[in-house]
Amino acid sequence: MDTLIFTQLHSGAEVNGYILIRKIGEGGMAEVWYAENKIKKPAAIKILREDLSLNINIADRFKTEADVMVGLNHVNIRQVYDYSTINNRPCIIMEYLEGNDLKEILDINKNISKESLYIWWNQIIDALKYTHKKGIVHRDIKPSNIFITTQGQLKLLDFGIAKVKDSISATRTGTQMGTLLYMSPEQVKESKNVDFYSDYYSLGVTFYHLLLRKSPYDNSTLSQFEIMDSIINKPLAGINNIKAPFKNNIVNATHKIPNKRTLNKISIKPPRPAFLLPLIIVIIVILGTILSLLIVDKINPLKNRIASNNHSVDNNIPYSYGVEQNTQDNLIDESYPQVDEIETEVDQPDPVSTDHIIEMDYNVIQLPPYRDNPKMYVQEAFDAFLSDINIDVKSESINTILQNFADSAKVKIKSTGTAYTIENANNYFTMLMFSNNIQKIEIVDIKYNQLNKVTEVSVIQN
Amino acid sequence: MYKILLFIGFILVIVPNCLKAQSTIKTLSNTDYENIKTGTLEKITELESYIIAMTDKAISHSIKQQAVSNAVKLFSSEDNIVQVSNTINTNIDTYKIRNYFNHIMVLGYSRVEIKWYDVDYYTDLHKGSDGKYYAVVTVFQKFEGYHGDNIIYSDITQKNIEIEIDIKEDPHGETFWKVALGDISVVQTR
Repeated sequence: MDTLIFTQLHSGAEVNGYILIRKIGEGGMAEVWYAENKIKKPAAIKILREDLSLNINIADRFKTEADVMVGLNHVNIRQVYDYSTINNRPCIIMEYLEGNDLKEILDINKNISKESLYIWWNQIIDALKYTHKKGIVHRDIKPSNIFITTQGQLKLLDFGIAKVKDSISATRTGTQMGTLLYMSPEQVKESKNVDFYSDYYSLGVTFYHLLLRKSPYDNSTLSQFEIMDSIINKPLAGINNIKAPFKNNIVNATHKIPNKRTLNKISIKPPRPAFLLPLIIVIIVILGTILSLLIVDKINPLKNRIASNNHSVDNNIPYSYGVEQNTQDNLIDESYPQVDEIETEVDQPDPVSTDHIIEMDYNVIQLPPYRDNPKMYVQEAFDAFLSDINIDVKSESINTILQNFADSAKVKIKSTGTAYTIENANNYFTMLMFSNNIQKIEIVDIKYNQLNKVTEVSVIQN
Repeated sequence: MYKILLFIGFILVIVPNCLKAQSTIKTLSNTDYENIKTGTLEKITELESYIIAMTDKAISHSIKQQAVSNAVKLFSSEDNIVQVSNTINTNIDTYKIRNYFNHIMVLGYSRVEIKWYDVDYYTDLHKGSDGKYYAVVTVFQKFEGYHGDNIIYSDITQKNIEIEIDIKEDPHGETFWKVALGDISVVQTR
């Protein structure tokens, strides 16, 4: 039997061309050193603890996971450069980052802007979609594994390390608590058999924590069993205190049933110049005044027509929309009594529609094109349209979603039984936009062409 | 001789196709019949959701236009009409559907609430001579016009909506149905 000999790590030791400079952190699994190579390129080197290095299973898993991480190349994932050993201890050589992880940011109660949260949410989704497409699940999404660099770039840390930690936890007790708070129900029940939906859940809980500045479960008062019970059986308490658009995104991400979970990116409203709001107000006031004057001019003939009970409708007029239409002589039918017909002491309402000044929310539902899984993409689109998202957002999102549909795409709709009806996909999404009585849409079949554009979706609704 | 052959060919092509067309008119199972009846009422509810959006001052004009566009598609023709009444006088006015939708988008109230309830069949589905099914659905519409927080006009109107349902069997033996709304008439207003 070989005997491994460990010697104390020290500054100046070299691994794969990197010189250890100083230790910058130490945890239950490993210590982390700052290192530089000969051209001063910095790196962080995670070195497995001595005692754990003796465990062949853990050491092997550490290497296996490092192999996986080396293959990940995404701007929002900490890059792993190489795997090696130093003093017979396995180590991972990876990108050196300056900044803070989200746990540190939460601990110091640092203010986080709404825009930052939007950006971070989207960047994590980018990273997760990237790894999930490669079949890699993080399994340990939590604030301390999400790093924000000093340049504001989000980096997801420790991909694959969760499995190594599981191996370590199996030999210890009481080490699971920190991660438990962010675990998905299926992970709590059977940690080995989790898929990427588990990452969705953990991300939802992490952002719950970020937004409300507290974990959904108080581990200072609840037992581990109580927390596990809550994760499995109870909805996230206080979710209603989270505002849109995160509320729905977190609700969607933390569904108890894994395949019901969805992740939707949030589109970010570009910052407005400071002078814009006053300018808009001035323009609105001017336009409002002009329109009011115009409409007052047109109202007298309307009154005359009403008084003479002339209710003819000209069927040959071209169709047009909008406020102007009310001013056309051929659209004077006032079958609902207008305000000036009713005796009331209430002031006359401004007849000018203010629809055009409603501020649009540009948080378009952005679903990445699942080239390899159109069913999942379309299900996410339906779920998003049934969720409590602003109607403006839904409207803005239709074209984005339909980019993944063929032009003539149809939706085949069944309730129960064999009878079905068919809608054009565009009409169907528009219908969903306004519907408030459809609770659930389940895709039973999906067809797509060689370009991976959806051509037909069969759904059962409600 | 050529003409006779052409005529025979014509008969051979046309007659089987006519028979085939006849055979596609589906005899409904009870389950499908009930599902289609329910589905048709959902179309009525869909129309209500568009009308609610059209009268909602908080919804932008471009989105209302989407509602109008989808609502018009629910009808069998742009020439279908909607009757409108009120409690101020006994007049019943008639609009073409698109004009009606454009009209309710710009009502001069600060807020309008429209709610349909007791949506149900006024006459049951019956098969017409053309093989299509027809029925009349009745709805009660509660209309409230506000100025600020004050209701300055309200009424409840019973309306009948004609519906036309085309039911066929597709090549896979499944029942395919398509509903189209027809004219909407006023029964009573109070």
